[in-house]
Amino acid sequence: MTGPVLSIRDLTIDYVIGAGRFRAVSGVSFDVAPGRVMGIVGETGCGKSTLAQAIPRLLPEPPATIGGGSIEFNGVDLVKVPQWKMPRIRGTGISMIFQEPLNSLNPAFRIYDQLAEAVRIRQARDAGHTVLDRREAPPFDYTRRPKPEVGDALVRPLVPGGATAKAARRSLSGRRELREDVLEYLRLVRINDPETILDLYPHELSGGMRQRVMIAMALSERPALLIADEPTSALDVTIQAQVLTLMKDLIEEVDTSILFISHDLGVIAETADELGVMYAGKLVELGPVDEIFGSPRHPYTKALLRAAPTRYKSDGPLLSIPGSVPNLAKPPAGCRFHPRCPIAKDVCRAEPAPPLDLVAGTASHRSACHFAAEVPQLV
Amino acid sequence: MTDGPLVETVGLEKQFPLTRTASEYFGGKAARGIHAVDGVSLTILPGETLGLIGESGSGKTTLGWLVARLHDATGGAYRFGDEEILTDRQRREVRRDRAQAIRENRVILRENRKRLRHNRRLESEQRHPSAPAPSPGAGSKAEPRVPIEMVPLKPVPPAPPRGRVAAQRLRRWRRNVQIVFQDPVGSLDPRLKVWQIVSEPLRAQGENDRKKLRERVRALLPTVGLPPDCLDQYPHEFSGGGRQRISLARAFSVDPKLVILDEPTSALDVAVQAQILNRLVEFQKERSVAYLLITHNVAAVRYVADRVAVMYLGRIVELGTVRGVLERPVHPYTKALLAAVPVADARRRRARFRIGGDVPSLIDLPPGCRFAPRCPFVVDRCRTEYPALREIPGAPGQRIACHRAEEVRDVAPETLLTVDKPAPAATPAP
Repeated sequence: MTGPVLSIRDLTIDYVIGAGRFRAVSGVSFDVAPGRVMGIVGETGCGKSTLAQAIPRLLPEPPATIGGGSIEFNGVDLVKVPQWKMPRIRGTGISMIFQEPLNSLNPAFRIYDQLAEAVRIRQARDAGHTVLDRREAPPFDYTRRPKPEVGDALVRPLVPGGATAKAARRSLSGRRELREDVLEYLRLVRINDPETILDLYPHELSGGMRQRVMIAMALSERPALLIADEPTSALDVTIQAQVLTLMKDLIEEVDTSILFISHDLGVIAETADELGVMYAGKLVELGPVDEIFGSPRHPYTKALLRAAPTRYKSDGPLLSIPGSVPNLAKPPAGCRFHPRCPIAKDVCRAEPAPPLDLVAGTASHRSACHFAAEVPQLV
Repeated sequence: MTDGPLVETVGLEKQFPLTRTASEYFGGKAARGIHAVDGVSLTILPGETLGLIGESGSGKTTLGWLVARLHDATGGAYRFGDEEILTDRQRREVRRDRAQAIRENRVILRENRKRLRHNRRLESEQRHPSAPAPSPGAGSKAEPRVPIEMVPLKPVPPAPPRGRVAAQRLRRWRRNVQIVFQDPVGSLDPRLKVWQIVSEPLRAQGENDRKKLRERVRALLPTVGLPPDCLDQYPHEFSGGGRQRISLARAFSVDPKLVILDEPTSALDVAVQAQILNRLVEFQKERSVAYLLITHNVAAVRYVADRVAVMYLGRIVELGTVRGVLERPVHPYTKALLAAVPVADARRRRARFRIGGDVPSLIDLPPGCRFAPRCPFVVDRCRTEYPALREIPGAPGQRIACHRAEEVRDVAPETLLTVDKPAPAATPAP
C-alpha cells in the first residue's frame, strides 16, 4: 500500500451539553503513513482523547457530534459508515489500547476467555465468513421492508453463537488450536510463563502485565492501525520502558501503524516518528519528531518543551506556561494561544491563527503561527 | 527545638500481616506478612527536602505514612524532633518492662512490709526493755537483733498512652506533619467548600471561630496561586492543578514542620506541574518547612529535593545528594531506574532499554540483596548476604547498599540497559 492508512481532513467534533456547545476538536487534518508512528501531544483538555475515540467512532454520540470533515481509513470514510457497521472495522482494522488496563479488561473473565474472543473473531474472518454479531444487525425499519441484498447470505450470525462456531468450540482439536493461538499472542508480547497467565483474572496481574495483555488483544486482530491512548501513563518508569520497547519491536513484527497519544513529551520522543501538537482542539504544529524537538516552530511547543523540569533548585525557578487551557465553550478570539503567548502581537489577538503551513526550508514541518520564523529566537 | 534532625528513623519496619488460609493454619504454617518497609534508616533536617524514589511496591508510600504516623511502625525507632515516637515493638517492650518492674516491686513491697514489722518490733523492745521477750514462736529465733534496711522500689516506666489519650496526643502532634496526596480528586471531599477543606486541619487543632477561619483561608489562598474569592466554591469547579493547590493550602494551613508530598504532580500536565513545583520551592524558602517528596518522577525530585533516597523492596539502596545520585548513580538499580526515564529529546533516543522482570513479591523476599534476581552484576555473595549502606571512594556524600559498588561505579547507565537479559519468572502480584 502506498497511500496513508489513516487520513483525517478538517475533522470537527462538538460536545453539546445543556445549552453549551464545546468544540473539542476543530479542523484537524493529518495522515498516518503505513508502518509509522504518529504521536499526538498536548495538555489535558486539548482534545487528544476525543480525537482518539472519534476515529473508531467510540465517542458517545450524543453528546458528541462529528460536525464535519472526514476520517478516511484505507479509503473508507468512517464518518459516513453507520454505527452498526463499525464493529467490523473496530478490532479487525483499528484496535485501541486505553490508559487504564484494569478498567478495560473484564474483571469477571479469565485472561484466556478475553483473548480467545478476539482470536476467534479473527479466525472466523480469515475463514472467509463475514463476522456479524446479532447485536450489530441493522435496526429494523418498520416503514419499509428491505429487500434482501445479494451477499446477505454470507452475513450470518457466527460469532458469538452460530452453529459452526459452536461446533468448532466444542471440538477438542478446535479448542486446543485456539489455546495455542492465544498462547502465541501472549508470547508475542513477551509474557513469561504464558500458560499460567491464561488462567488468571485481570486483578491478579501487575500493571505492566495487564497492559501487555491489552496489547496482545489489540494485536490479535492484526489491525492496520493501533490507537494507543496514554498506554503507559499508569505504569512505573521501568515498566513503561519495557512496554515502549515492546511496542517498538511489535511495529516491525506485526507491521502496523500507530497513533500514539500522550501528554508525556519524553514518551513521545522515544516512540513517535511524526508528531502533532494539539492546543485547545487545534493542531498547532505537525512534522517529523526530530525537527519539532530540535527546533520547535510554535510558541506553545516551545513552552511545553521548556516546562519539562530538567534543572535543580539552585538553577532558578522552572519555566511554566502562565495561565491555563482556555474554556472551549468560548475560546479566546484570534489565535487560541495568544493569552499565554510571549510573542503575541495585535494580529494574533484580532485574526484567527493561520492554517498549518510549511515552515520555510523544511520538507514537512508545519506550524500554525504567524511568527513561526521567530520562535527559534525565543528564549 | 534542638538543631538536630527533624526526623530520624533507625531500622524502621512495617509489616502487614497476612491472613492464613484454614489449611495453612491447621497445617501449622507460621503467619506471614508483607514486609512493606524493612529496616529504613534516614534523617530529614529541618527545612530540607528528601526525595524518595522507587517503583510502585517499593514501600515508599508506606514509609511516608509511617513518618506521618498514619500507620504505626512495627519495628525500629523513630524520633521526631525531641520526641521519641514508639513503634509497636518498642511499645511492647515498654509494656513488658513495666509489667516486669511492677511484678518485682510487688515482691519488694511484700519483703519490705516484713522488714518494717521486724524493725517496729525491735523499736518497741528497745523502748520498753521491761516488756516480756517475744514468745519463742517460729521464725523469731533466726532474726537478727538489728534493724534491717528497706529496699527501694524499682522505677516503673510510664505506660504508653492508649485510647482517647493517645488519640488526643496524636491529634495535637499532627500540626507538625501534613500530607499532600496524589489524587487531587479523591483527597478532597466533594461536598465541602474550599474554605471548609482548607481550614479542616485548623478545626482539628481546636480553632472554631468561623470568621477567623475564613479570614485565615482567604489570606492563605493567594500564596498557593488561587484567587481569594473562591472560598465558597466546590472542588469540582477547579481543574486538576487548581485542586492540587487546594490540597497544598490545606497542608500549609497549620504551619507544619514537615510536609509529606506523596506523588504531588503525577496527575498533572507538564506546564501545571512546573507551576506546582515552583510553588513548593517558594514555600520552602518562605517558611523553612521540610519536605519528604515521594515520587517516581525523577524530574520532580531533581528540582525540589536536596537529598535523594532510592528505595527498592522496602529498603534504601542508595542515599545521597540530589546531584550525586542523579548524575553519578552507583547502585545498579538506580542506574537502571534513571536510564528508563524517557528524555524529551528525540535526538537522544535509545535503541533498547529494559531491566528484566517485575518487582518481586514482598511476601517471600529473596534472601540477600533484594535486587539480585534482576541485577546484571549479580555474584553469589549477593544472593546470601544483604549489603549494608556504606560510603565508597569516588562518590562523596553518597551511601550505597551494594557489594560490588566499587566495580559498578563507573558503568554507564545506558550500557546497563542494552543488556538483553532474559527476565526471571514473573511473580504475579499477590
